[in-house]
Amino acid sequence: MSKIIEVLTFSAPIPGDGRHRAEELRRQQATQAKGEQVYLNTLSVSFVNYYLFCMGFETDLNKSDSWNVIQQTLMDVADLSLKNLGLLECRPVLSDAQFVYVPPEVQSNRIGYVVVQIGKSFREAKLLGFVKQVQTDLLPINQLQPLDELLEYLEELSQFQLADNSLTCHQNLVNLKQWLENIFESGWQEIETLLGTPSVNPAWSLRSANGAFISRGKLIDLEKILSDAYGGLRQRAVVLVVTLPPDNEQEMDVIVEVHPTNGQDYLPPNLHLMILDFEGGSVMEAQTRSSNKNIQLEFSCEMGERFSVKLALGDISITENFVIC
Amino acid sequence: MTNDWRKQLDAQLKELAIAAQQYTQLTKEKRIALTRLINTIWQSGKLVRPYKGQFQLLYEDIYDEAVQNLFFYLCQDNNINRYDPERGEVMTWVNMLLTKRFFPEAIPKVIGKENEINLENSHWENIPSSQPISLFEQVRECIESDPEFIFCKEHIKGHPEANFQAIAQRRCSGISWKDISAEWGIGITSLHNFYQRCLKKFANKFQEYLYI
Repeated sequence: MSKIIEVLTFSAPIPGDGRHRAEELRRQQATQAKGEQVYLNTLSVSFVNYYLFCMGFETDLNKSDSWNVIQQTLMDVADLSLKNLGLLECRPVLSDAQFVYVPPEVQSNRIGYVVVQIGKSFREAKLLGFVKQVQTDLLPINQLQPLDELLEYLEELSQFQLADNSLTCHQNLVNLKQWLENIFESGWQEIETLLGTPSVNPAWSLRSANGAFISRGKLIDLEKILSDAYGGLRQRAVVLVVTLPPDNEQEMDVIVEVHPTNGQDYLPPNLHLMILDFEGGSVMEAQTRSSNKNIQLEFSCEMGERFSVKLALGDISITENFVIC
Repeated sequence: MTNDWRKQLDAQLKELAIAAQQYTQLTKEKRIALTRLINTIWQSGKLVRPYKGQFQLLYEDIYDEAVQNLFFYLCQDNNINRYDPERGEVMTWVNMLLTKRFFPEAIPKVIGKENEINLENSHWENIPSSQPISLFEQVRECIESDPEFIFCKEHIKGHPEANFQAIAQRRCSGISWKDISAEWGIGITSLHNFYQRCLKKFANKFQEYLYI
């Protein structure tokens, strides 16, 4: 009797150019352990890239940190960039492994994690399954979701991306430079109006010698979006706060936060806050756990730069676009 | 028993091929059917090994390349519809494709590549042989010497000690994020977010310094 494979996996040879690259990069490392890590990461990414290519998804190795020789040397990274969707982490394991190691530096800013079992010959590999998120360094293999779920998930993401693009291309850019001159786009209100406190951080209310913190908030009605998509199953609204600290000269510092609406104590769990570059690639990400009062990201932009802030809860996401000029 | 197993395999493959033929677009259902089909073909061990005994050490490379291209072909452009269930088994069809088309096509690709490798080797291997120093050592030295003082200047807000150079040196020495976090009292997430942003920011600098 044949074993009829119930759980969907995918095995095939690893692409030859991936193997050559992995071999070359391994020889460039200082220790055997680091060499092995770079070798397996490269094999793994190359294999997933082949599989997704077969499945008709557009990938871009050159936009993947794992394919940059310096980053592969200085980090433990196995990401694969999927066009318009984000980074998929491809973690390698050897046969018989019970757990897969997910280093802290790749536990955010990923659309998901696939686990690739590298065969004993290092010539073939097997996709064991995937998860959307990880919250631990060692993920048990038996907690993986089957490959069907990955295909379904990527298909959904592609469709949302299409919807998202058509939504955002008509949306106005919020110009942060104008905020310094007290010109605010409609929808961006004073913090007190939205949260009932004069400022999200008491220290920011004080004027410093160089000027004041400029903070504005916008009510993001996830409820409306959710009820449109799910017939009003859940209701959530949050406040997106953008703050410009004083003393912004060449580079502009930006603080982006999400707060619960006035009267609520916590943000919904699994709410993702992402900063996207002008091409839509995620550069930073934060995510709420079970009881977060707020989440925050801080970064610097140069004049003329464009970025977007994306809030995502489950399958629902909204994007606000900003420019500094 | 063996015969039964083979019959069952053939029936299963036929069913999967017909399932994949039902969809003209690459939908989730079609992708699942194709994944299962290819996986079953590969795991069955019934794919032929044509021209066995030839090409010596390159045989495996040619074979893998051929199989890769065969599987890719099965997924593309509704090629799966070229399989006619009335005319025979899936295994017979794919073995014919492998022998007649994909293996012969893979031979020049692999043998050609083998000849090219010494000529146009990857850039980071093009470092003159008088300098048998690994990429890792070059990167490490470059960060340490910091010729334009940019690596030590770039630091986490309010923590000049937590600059890119100091973090990279610790990571190169194998010190964990946890220990670095404890040393400076800075959260792991802030540390590696900052580190990753620096790596992106300095990507061109590294290329310039290391001629890659």
